[in-house]
Amino acid sequence: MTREPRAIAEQRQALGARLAAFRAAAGLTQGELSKLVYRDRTTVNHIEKARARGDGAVLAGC
Amino acid sequence: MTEQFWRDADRAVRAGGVLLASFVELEAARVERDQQQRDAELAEARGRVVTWQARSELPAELCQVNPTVLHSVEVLRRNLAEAVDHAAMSDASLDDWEHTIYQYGLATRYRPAGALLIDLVGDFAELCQLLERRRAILVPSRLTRVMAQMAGLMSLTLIKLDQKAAARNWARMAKLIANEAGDSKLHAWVRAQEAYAHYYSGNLAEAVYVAAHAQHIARQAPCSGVALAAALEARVHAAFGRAAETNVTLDRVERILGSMDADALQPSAFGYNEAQFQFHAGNAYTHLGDTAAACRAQDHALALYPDSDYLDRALVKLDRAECLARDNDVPAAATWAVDALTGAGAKQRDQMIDNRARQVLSRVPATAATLPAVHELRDLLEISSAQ
Repeated sequence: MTREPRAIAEQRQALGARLAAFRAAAGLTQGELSKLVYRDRTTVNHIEKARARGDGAVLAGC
Repeated sequence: MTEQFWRDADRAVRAGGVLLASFVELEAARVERDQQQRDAELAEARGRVVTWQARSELPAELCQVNPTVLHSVEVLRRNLAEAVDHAAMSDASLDDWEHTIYQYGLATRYRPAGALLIDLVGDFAELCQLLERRRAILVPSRLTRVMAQMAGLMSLTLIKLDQKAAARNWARMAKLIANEAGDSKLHAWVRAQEAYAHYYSGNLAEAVYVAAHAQHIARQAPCSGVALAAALEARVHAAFGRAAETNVTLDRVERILGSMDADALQPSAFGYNEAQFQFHAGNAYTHLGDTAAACRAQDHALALYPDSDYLDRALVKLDRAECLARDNDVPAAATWAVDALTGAGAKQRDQMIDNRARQVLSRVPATAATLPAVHELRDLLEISSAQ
């Protein structure tokens, strides 16, 4: 697997953190958000924590 | 779907489009990174090709197919696939490319496959470059034809080098491009190449299906694609021991051959002629175990093929060796196999020839292992007596 460049990894982490911040500001838990976006809680958690693979499989799999 | 997630998330947490915009930005960075990687790979592949071409002598290791060469071939194929949608060029340039592909067709009959592959890679790199510079304009159908033929030749060359998976990939690529060209005879030819890729991969069922499709596309018109496909169909019937079907199909090939234009009869990858027919008939009879009929066809083929057509001559001789082994004449079988290998010459001994010679050797009983010709055959194949 190709190693993800640092700049893209940082951008991805920032996006996850931004989602977590907006979710908290909206007073939603990860479980509640997951229902609103038709995904499971783990997916939301992975995206917020930026636990995506180098090729963006988790993000791309949303 | 990915974008939809961020759209939904944006709405759910009332982010006012910030999340979606950030995601789009991230995707743009990814696309740019992927493009940079592809460009770097292509530049590296082109660099290697230029280096090979700059050498006055072909390095021995490149006569074999090594992973680096194959990787370059694959990178170029992907690049061509991307570029193929949009391009245009002058008539003069198209003339050049058509002449190039014509020459390649002839060269397949005498040029060693390893060297031919390197030439093809070089020209593909150039063609890709040309297409890239002309994005957003439609590809002229003449160029589409050239590309389909080149991709078919690449498949054919890789078959000779025993690179089965790569050959099938290129055959598929040729089929896709030929589809665009809207020329049924060309389409039949590339489908015939695909059928050969399956045949030499050992997938006879798929080979016969694709060969039948090739004939169907061109409505049995007398052209090289249909003749090649029908000849392959006969060989597959023979491999399954179906003598009646083999003979009916060989008769059909002969009729097609008799109706073909003179242009299509030339010794080229794009043609089909009597020598090839006799080779294919001889091969079919060899499969059936009809060694008398096989030997007649083989003699006929060897009389027709020029010495320069090293590969088909070697394969005919190996069929003869196979027949002799079946008839329990092991010394003669080994002698013919040795002749096939030495006749091809060390530099021209494609992997396909060695593989067939090994098959002949496997028919030699252990009691005959001490025969001088068997020894020589083992030596040529670099097989130790202990094996």
